[in-house]
Amino acid sequence: MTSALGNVNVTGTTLQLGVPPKGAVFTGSVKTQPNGGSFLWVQLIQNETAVVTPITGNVVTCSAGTGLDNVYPYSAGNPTDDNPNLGLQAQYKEETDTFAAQMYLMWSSGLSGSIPVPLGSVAWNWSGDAVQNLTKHTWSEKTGTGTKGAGSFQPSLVSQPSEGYPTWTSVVVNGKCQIQ
Amino acid sequence: MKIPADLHFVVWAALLSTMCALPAQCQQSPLSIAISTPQSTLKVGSEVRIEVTLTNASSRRVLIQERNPATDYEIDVRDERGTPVPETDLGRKLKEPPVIPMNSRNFGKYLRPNESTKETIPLSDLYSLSHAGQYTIQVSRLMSNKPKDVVVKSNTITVTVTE
Repeated sequence: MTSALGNVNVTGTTLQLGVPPKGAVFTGSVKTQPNGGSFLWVQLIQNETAVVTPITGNVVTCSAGTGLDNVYPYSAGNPTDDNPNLGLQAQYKEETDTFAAQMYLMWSSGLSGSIPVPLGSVAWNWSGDAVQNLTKHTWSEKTGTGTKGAGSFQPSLVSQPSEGYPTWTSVVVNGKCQIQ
Repeated sequence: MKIPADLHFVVWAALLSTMCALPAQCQQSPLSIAISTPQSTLKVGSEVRIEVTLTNASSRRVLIQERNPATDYEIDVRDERGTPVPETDLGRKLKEPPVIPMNSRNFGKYLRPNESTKETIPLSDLYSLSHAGQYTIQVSRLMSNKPKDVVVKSNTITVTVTE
């Protein structure tokens, strides 16, 4: 499993990783793949936090929490990708987004009664800081603030907690966060 | 600005759809939606899920955007009298405008000609199916971020909920 991350950027009123439709691309590969079956992906969010600074007023921090990224599975097929983003709103002069997740590669035999097995995962993250030009009402990335990173592939092992399966007790939903 | 050929097609398809007087009658839509459920008869309180299959029925590849199927699709659930079924708290919350519009799951996917993609919608999490009876379900999806009349509708299925 390999990963390739695009650059943090601001496009119009969106702070994002990469340029749609590709932001972070994850590609699964195995040395010996059985005939048939298919890949699927599961993503767990470890952190997704926005910090917004109103034009007037106090800074607000909003966290989307941790857990399953919206749905199980994240997607089917191979490769897969993600374009996490933050919509930039006119009432703020600065907005930051900090994101960390673990993308799991699973394989399903497709046989009746079977369940997918985890092959491994990659931890990845990005962050960005956007500022609004209050005269022109345009947004740009604060120079030198964008970060991104991906760890190495961690194979799933039976010795790991939950035998290497992704586990979660809550779900992170697009557009929903809790003010801190 | 140079627009990729595939995006040209999305725009072209959207424009073509807007030329139809009645969107449901448009035969030119490059996408079709089919829904199904693993079990059409369930007991009250059971989990009801529907599978949504989005298919590229055109001869060109089409870019679709996937976020959360519960909000990517408009869902219409009605009881035996044709009355819209109320949403659950979760269903209502999902439709509320975000305070801070963050998207963690957000990816584009090219569908090749005749290729399909499947998503599952946890219907009973979103709609109150707490009474025995028959419910009809249909979903629809905007083809693009263009005007609202660019809509593709699915077939209609019936789910029977028993005591």
